[in-house]
Amino acid sequence: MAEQAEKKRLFFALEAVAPWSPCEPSGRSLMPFERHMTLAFLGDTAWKPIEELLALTPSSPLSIAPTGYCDSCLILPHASHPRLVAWHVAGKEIAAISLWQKTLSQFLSSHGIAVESRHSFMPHITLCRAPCDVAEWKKSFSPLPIHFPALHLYQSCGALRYSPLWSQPLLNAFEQLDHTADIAFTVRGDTLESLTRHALTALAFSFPELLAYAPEIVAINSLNDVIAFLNEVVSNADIAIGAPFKAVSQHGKLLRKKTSNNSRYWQWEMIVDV
Amino acid sequence: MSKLLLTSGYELEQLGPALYLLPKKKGMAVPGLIAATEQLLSKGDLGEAIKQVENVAHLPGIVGYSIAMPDMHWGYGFPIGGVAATDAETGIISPGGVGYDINCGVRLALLPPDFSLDAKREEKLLHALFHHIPSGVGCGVERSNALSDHDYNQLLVKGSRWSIEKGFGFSEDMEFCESRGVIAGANYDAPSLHAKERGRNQLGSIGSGNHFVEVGKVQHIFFPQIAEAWGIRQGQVYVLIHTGSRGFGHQVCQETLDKFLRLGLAKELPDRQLVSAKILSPEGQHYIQAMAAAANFAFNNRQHVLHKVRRSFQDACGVPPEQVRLLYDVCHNIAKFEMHKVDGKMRKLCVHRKGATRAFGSGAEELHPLYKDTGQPVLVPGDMGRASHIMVGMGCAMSWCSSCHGAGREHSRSQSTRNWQGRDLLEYMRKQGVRVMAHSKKTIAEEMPDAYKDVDEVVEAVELAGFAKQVARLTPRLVLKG
Repeated sequence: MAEQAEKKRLFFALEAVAPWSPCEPSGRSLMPFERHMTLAFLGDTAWKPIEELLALTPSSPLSIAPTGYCDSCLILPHASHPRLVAWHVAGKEIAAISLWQKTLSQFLSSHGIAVESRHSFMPHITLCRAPCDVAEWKKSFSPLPIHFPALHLYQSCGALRYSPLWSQPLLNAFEQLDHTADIAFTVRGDTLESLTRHALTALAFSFPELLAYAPEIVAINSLNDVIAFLNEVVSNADIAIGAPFKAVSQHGKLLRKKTSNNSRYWQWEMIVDV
Repeated sequence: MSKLLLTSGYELEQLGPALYLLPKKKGMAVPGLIAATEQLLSKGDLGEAIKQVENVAHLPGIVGYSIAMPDMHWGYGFPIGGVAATDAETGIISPGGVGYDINCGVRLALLPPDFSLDAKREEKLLHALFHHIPSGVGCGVERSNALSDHDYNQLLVKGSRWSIEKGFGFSEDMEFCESRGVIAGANYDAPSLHAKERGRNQLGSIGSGNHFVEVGKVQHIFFPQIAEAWGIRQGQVYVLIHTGSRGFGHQVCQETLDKFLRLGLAKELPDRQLVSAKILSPEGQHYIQAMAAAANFAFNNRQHVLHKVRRSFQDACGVPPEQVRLLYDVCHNIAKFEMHKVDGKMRKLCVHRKGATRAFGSGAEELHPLYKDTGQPVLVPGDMGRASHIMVGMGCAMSWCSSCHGAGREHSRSQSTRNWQGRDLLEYMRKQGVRVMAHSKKTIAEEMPDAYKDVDEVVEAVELAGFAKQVARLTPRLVLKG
């Protein structure tokens, strides 16, 4: 009886990893490692039924961890009554995340778990809660790449601290490798287009300004096309503002791999001349 | 012949002190030749670098050996510290064997023997260098000083003579440059408009990464007769400049690699980055003309930086510019057409040096009379904390008259950053007796001394292998980093 009565303040969210600015304005900020994108807010919920359901939680529709980019500052619930500052998240993979969010919400609802559904899904990451200097936060915004390496069921512990009680890790879209000559990454994508996007995100983690020089990713049919696209971005950025990397090399094979649930994906070792 | 089994699984056969053979395997046209001591070979994991030595040996028309210098480390395509020669008539040219930063290189200048640095002068000088020399990401010259198309037309073909004619140095500077500061055969039209755009406001800047300007003192003389001939004295102040062709060269290399790959020229090669074209083919010739243009951009870049160094010494210490004397300028990412003896006959070869320096011995035709008597200077920057070296080339036929180019990285940039996280880097360096200025603390963390091999061990191996001999050891006092 005591166990069934146990309640926790819960929500499902994607862990959000980004090259957060070390110089953020003042306020009640979430620590970088606490930042996340909520998919389903359950509120104060009985723990036992949730715990029993976790093993059946639907998997991500993406075989590789999704990426995106923060494209604007949101003051929520609205500018005249600011309670929190968030960065809005955009990108091609948001559609798949949105689908996952719907699937997850439907799954929970179908098992009698109430999910807060005041608004349609708005992809965002909260950085700071009131009281805070909203004007300074708005001024401080600049586009940032984001990587979502895992889905967690978080418990809200108060004081802007969140504890993951359950996790569904995803295969990383990219990882930095140790390379003596330059900088190197393992990059993954379920299509060549998403591989290109993830490679660009990897580079943007070192140099977020690169995002402003990236055209739309189209007609990527080979590794040559991937590298040519990335070099176009690097080159344009170098001309305009100077870039810390000079060229994406031609080294590295493109491999076809399988996830544990047999989904196929591309994997490439990207070495970047600096 | 004794054998050496490395932790990476490679088995090498010892040929001599600091010389090992990597035996031919299936697909290799020639064996590998690795110059290193057993001590250097036992440090770190050289498996990837040796794999690249193996891969380079697959290049069509390669002659002699696929060579690696003692500062070798994992690159892409060629290892860094790689040398390979191909026949100039029947062989290929590989942009990956030159590198993205075409004619990245080093130049060393000396102050008069009676000039000395004290703490006050050092402080003023470091700030003057930081003020005059654009360094770091995005730091180029003012847009008003950007190169015009006419400027490009001239400097890409004339080499550093263009800068000197414009008043950025002295005519004798050219005499003390590899190839007199110009690579013949450049074509203004060969590099793309995009390449020219990238370089337009970068002439006279050092860039970022491991590029630098360093001021220090000659700490020890190993070879007194050569030092005397070259005017080097113990305690003398020197300046070392490391930079290349900046975004211009990178764009040339990248566009050429892309073009060669789309032409299907990487078939049968174990690494796409080794893609190459026949030297005498239209695409090969086009690359050679563009590479020469980029190399000439780099010579001009180092000439401009030297001009700014001279200005800094004048402003901070009252030293007239003509008293900052250029000792030599060397390329360490380049392909050069040279005559070498192969099986007893002189043959024209295309020698690719990727992170390796030419090391002509005495008697070499191209050299200034001073260096024709002695052999050319070989400049070996180490790391910013310990030492750099001046060596003299021995004209070793086995290495196509090549030597190492630096200390070689032991740790990656990310590893070095992790190792030094949370520590006061500038204070640490100050305690080592070195003042550092840089636009980015991240760059300093990536370039900390322990990220590199010990340059003393590297030059010792070079000397044991017979490629060059030590002349002087230099220790840094001031470093300007990109």
